[in-house]
Amino acid sequence: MSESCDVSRRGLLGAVAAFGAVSLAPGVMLYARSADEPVSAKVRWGMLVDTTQCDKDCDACVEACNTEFGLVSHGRPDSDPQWIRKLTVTDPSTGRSQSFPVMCQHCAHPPCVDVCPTGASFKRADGIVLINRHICVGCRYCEMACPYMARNFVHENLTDQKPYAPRGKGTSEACTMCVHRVDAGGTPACVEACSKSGRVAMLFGDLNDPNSEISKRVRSVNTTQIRSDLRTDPGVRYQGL
Amino acid sequence: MSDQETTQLTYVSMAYAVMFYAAAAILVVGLALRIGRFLRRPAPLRGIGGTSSARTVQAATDMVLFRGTFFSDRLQWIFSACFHFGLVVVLLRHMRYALDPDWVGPLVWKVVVLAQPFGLYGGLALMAGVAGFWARRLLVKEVREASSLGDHALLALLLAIPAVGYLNNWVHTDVVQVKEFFVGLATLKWQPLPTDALLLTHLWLVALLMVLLPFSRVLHLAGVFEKRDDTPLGFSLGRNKRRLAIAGVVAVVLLAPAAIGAAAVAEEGWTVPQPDFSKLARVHKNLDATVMIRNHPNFLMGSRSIVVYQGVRTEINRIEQCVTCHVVKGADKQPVAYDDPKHFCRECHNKAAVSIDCFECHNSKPLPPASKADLETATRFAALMSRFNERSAVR
Repeated sequence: MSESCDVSRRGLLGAVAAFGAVSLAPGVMLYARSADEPVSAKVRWGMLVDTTQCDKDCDACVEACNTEFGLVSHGRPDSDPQWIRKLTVTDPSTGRSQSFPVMCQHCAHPPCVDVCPTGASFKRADGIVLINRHICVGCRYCEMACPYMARNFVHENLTDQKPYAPRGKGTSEACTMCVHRVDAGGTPACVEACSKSGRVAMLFGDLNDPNSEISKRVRSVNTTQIRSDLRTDPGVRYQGL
Repeated sequence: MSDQETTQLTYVSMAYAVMFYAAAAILVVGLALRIGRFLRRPAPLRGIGGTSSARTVQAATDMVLFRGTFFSDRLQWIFSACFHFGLVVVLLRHMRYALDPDWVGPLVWKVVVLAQPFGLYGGLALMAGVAGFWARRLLVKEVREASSLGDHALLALLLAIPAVGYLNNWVHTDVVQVKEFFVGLATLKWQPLPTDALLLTHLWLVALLMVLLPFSRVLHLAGVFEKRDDTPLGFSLGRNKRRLAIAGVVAVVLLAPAAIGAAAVAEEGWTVPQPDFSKLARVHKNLDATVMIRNHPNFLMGSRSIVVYQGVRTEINRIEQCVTCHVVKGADKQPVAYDDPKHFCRECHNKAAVSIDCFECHNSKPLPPASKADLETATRFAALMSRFNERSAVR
């Protein structure tokens, strides 16, 4: 990350501090879990991607994810880690083209969890689908089961991982919905980067809280889940798709 | 640590040190006498023809693969193979208490490290072999009638040693301290021994076996020097005088350390198998270091589940916090990684040949202070949210 980027981030923080008091109205800060309280099913974290706001040439979310988790290319695009990717789809009959990010959809009924032979793949109480890499044996069954091709396999020996995001050779990995940030009351890196880029095509929040912004949005506008026919009930929804 | 505790610790360590010196002496002298007796005795007819090299091959296959047993009693051979090959791997695992990476070099040490997991399975094979021997003694009529109490006692001992050893693996002791004790015995620089009941029991049983071996027929190793082993069956068939001598040796060598060890255990208490880990972590800075040395694996296992499944990322649960407090700085004033022999975890784990794979995924270096600010996102989150609202409203 370049120095100038750091500076602008601090600038943003300053601005946030200035009008934070105004924006912190009741119900905006959706969920305040104390540090030693376990996650609960009262919350279902979800994301809303507004494809009408997503720019085809922008990959700020992908960049942010790679930076956050230290995902670097090993010169083999087929097996390089890719936790979030930009897709561009075109309707052949109308020629309408759309671009949007796809990552782990954090399904309510995740196929990766169903197939995992060791129980490493699991859904946390608050709906975030994770991999307990302490017991992952690297069979890659989850990668095959996932209809969203969200899971990756680590092929390389890694060093100097991010302290908050352990990764290691021989295990499956995927988007964690930035669980380390969410647990600290934050928002995922991709959502943050999207907002910072000025497009604001991504929204993160608690789907179970009727007063949350994301709940209001999914109530009021037409949103879809990718491959909803599979009834995996993803926590990531798309608007305008 | 008070004076009294120090004295207690020293008493046990001294008693055990003397016990192991005596047991080793008895074993070596007893083995030498046994071999000498075999060598002096006229050799019986062997029934092996051929050249001396053919005889050597046969003797070698007898010794290493138990050829004779294989062709005479297949079941017995299976038990023998389980026991002896298991014992080899177990002894290889125990080399970590005798060798040090600093003396033997990295290559030999790699073998010792490699033997660690296999040693655990080897122990199971060993126990299965002994159980088989015992079952044979109890179930086969001819063998049962030929068995004496001493035979059963020896089998019980051979079963008890690995059983207590496994319990040691479950209720952790300070293996680095154990190693220092035994290395200290060899180099005549005595070190204290951890006062753990299970450890003391395991070691005492091993010493008992070392003392009994020269008097029992378990020492058929000496029979290598003479094919036909016609020594009396165990000590039960020996004369009264011999029995008395054995009893005297056992009493002098073994009973005193046992009494002192028991007294020390009574004083310090048994190691609690499952301490309250939340409390342990919270107060571990104020505790005796040995408490954490023994219990940190269980503590880490418990914490990792709390972090992964419950999302409770408090300081006491995060491994990042462990490596942050226990940071070791290198020559360049930067924190060292696990590859460096000076790393806090590496120092003991390398010495005890206990390999850990925590740092294949986790970073072994502390969290850089700057990135902590990144996690302070609560207010930022709210601001972004309002910005999103604004845009939605406009549209």
